[in-house]
Amino acid sequence: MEKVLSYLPLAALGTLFIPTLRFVIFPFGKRDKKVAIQRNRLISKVTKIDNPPMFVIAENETPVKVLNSHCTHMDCVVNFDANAKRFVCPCHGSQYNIDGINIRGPTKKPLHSESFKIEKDKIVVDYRFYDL
Amino acid sequence: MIEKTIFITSWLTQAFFVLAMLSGIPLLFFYHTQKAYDSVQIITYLIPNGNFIRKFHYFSSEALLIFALIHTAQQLFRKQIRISQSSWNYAIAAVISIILLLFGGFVLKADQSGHSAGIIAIGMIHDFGPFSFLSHFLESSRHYFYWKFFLWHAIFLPALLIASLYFHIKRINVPTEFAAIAAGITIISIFLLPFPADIAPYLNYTHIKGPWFFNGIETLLSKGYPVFIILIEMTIPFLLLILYWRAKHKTVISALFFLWVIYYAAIGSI
Repeated sequence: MEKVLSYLPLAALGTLFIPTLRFVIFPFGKRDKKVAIQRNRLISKVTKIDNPPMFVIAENETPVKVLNSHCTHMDCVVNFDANAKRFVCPCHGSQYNIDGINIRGPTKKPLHSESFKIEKDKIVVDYRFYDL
Repeated sequence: MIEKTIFITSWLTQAFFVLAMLSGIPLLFFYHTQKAYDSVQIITYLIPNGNFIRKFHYFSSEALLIFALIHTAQQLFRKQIRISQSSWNYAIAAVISIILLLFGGFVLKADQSGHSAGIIAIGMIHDFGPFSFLSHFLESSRHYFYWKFFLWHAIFLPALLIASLYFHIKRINVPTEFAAIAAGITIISIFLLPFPADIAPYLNYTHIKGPWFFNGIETLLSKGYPVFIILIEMTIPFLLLILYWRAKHKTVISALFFLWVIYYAAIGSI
């Protein structure tokens, strides 16, 4: 009996383990969200939005596509090379054309395209967080 | 020769650790995880001596890793191990803690390279099969991206390193002469060695690099190797070190270890 009781503290700790682990690993704040962007910010064909990272592709100041800036290889934020008209990942060199299609590895997938709608003077983007 | 110098590298490693820790404490007062990049720039350019303290923290930490690696290599050239198996294992834990501490520091500078390194680290753990849930120990929401890295860098890993060092050598006591030598080396490094520039988040960089000791991993990632394979490869030197204490043919294990180091240095230099 005494031996069984000696395991009680261990059992108590074990009981705490699962709830504590679930608490610690809760993915707080990583939820999809709607992001509003003023249309007067679209001053060029490709506009970089920093927070959350995305690119708005526009033609004649009308948005035609919104690309999530996270590289589909390791999730780094890609930059736009205006001379080559390509999105380039500074981490491992993946490249995408202006439509977000992957044209050079190591990535094997295109940039994620976000859905959006135009509301008067702003565009509202359904920004999604992706698992790699 | 090794028997004489192994104590020198041991004292110097401890001295650099104490210096790195002491120089990190004042930085904590002005580092804000929500405005990480801005706070680093404020430390560097606005607060008196902030740049000096930041460089002191950086170079003492780099020296800590270098001397810890030299000390480890020296052990592998010794004729026999003169410490217990548990003491040996604590030393390995200390080396792992130092590598992770330096990586955390690299992320916390919060420029483009630091931020990308953090994202890649989370992504790699996320891709590590059954261990993917561990990524939650690093991953926070967008606004608090650096918070968990900060916790690891400022609390958990230093505590783990102190404990590992204590159980490895049964004391942490740096003789003043070694502390002076370590401080001297750090100050000379501040004036002679280049300090990596911070890359502002809004700059359109086409190539950024991770910390030098992760160059090999960067190369493998660039070549498109699966993350799982890369992480398994990275555990090899530590597994060899764990095996070393018990191994009958220690020369074989140390030869394999140094072969791995040469391989890693080679791919890292591509």
